[in-house]
Amino acid sequence: MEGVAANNRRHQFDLYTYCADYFWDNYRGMFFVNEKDADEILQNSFIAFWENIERHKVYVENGVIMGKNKEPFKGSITTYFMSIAENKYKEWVRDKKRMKNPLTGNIEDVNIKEWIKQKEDFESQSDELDLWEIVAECISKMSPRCNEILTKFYYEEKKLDVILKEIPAIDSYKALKSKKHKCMETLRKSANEMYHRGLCF
Amino acid sequence: MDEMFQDRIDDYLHDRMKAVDKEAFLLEVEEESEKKRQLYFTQKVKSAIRSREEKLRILTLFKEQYERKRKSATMLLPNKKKIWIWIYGVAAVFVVGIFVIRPVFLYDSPRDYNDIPPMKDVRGNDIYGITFSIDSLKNDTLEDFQDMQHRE
Repeated sequence: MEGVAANNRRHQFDLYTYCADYFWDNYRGMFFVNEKDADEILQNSFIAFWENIERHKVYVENGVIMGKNKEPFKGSITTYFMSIAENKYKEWVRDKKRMKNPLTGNIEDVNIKEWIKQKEDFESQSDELDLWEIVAECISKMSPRCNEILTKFYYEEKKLDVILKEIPAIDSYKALKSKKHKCMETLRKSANEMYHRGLCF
Repeated sequence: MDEMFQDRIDDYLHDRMKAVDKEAFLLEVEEESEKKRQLYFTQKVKSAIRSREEKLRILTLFKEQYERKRKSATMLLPNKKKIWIWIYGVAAVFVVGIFVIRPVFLYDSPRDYNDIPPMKDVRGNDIYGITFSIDSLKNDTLEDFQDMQHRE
C-alpha cells in the first residue's frame, strides 16, 4: 500500500493482481453480470481503491492498515476492495435500470439518498464524502461523448479546434464549444446536488 | 455557469494566460465568490479527469500483463488437470465396473443340478425338510383320490 501511494508501478501491479485474483475467483457468487461488465466493475473499483490510497483515506502506519478515523482496518484488504466493488455493482445495476431512458449524460435521476447511504454502508472505512470524490463519481458516469470531449480538453490539454478535427460527429467549433459547456454544466449540477444533499444526511 | 468566464478559467488552468491577465483574473476570482466556486469546481474536474485517465492508461497495461500472467498460470494447469481427469476416469470405470460385473457373479453362482433329485422323487421326500412317504405320492394323484372315494 505504501508502494502504491508512492507511485511504485510494481507495487501497484501487485495490488491489482491481488485484488483481481480475488475478484475473479469470487465475483460470480456476488454479482449477476457477464464477464465484460464484471471487468468494468473491477476497473472502476480498483480506480476508486487506488484513489483512496493516493488521497490517504487508506494508509499504512507501523505496518497496520488504517482507515476511517485513523483506526486500524477491521477487515482484510480484499474485504474492503470487494465492498467497493459491491458498491460499484449496485451503481451499475441502477444505471442499467436508468438506461431504459435515453442517456444524455444526466445523472439527476440518480437516487442520491441511496447513493450516499451505499457509500456510507460499503465504504465504511473511508472518511466523509468530499466534492472531489463526488466529481470523480460523476465523471465515471458521464456520457461517452462528454467523457471524450472533457478528457481531450482537460487531460490531454488539447485546444477545441484540435478536438473538433478528432471528432467528426461534431461539425462546428461553436457546436463543440456548446457541447463542452453543456457537459460541464451537467457535471456541475449533478455534483452540487449530490454534495449538498449528502451534507444534509 | 458563466461560459465566458469558463473560457478564462480554462486558459488559466492550461497556462495560456499572460502574466498581466492572470493577475487580473485571480483578483477577480478573489472578489467574486461565484467565480471562485466555478474555478474551484473546474480544478476538481480537471484533477479528477486526470487522475482517472492516468489510472485507466496504467490499468490497460496492468490488464495485459495480468492476462499474460493468468494465461501462463493456466498453461501449467492442464498437466495437473489431466492427471486428475485420469484419476477420476479410472475411479469412474472402477465404480461402474463393480455394478456391471456384480450381477453377473450373482447369476453365475455355481450350482450342481445333478444333486437335485428327479421331480417324481421330490414330493414326499425330505428335500424341503418335510418328510412324506414315497407312497403318498401315489395317493396324491387325482385318480387314486377318485378310487379312494369310490371304494368308500
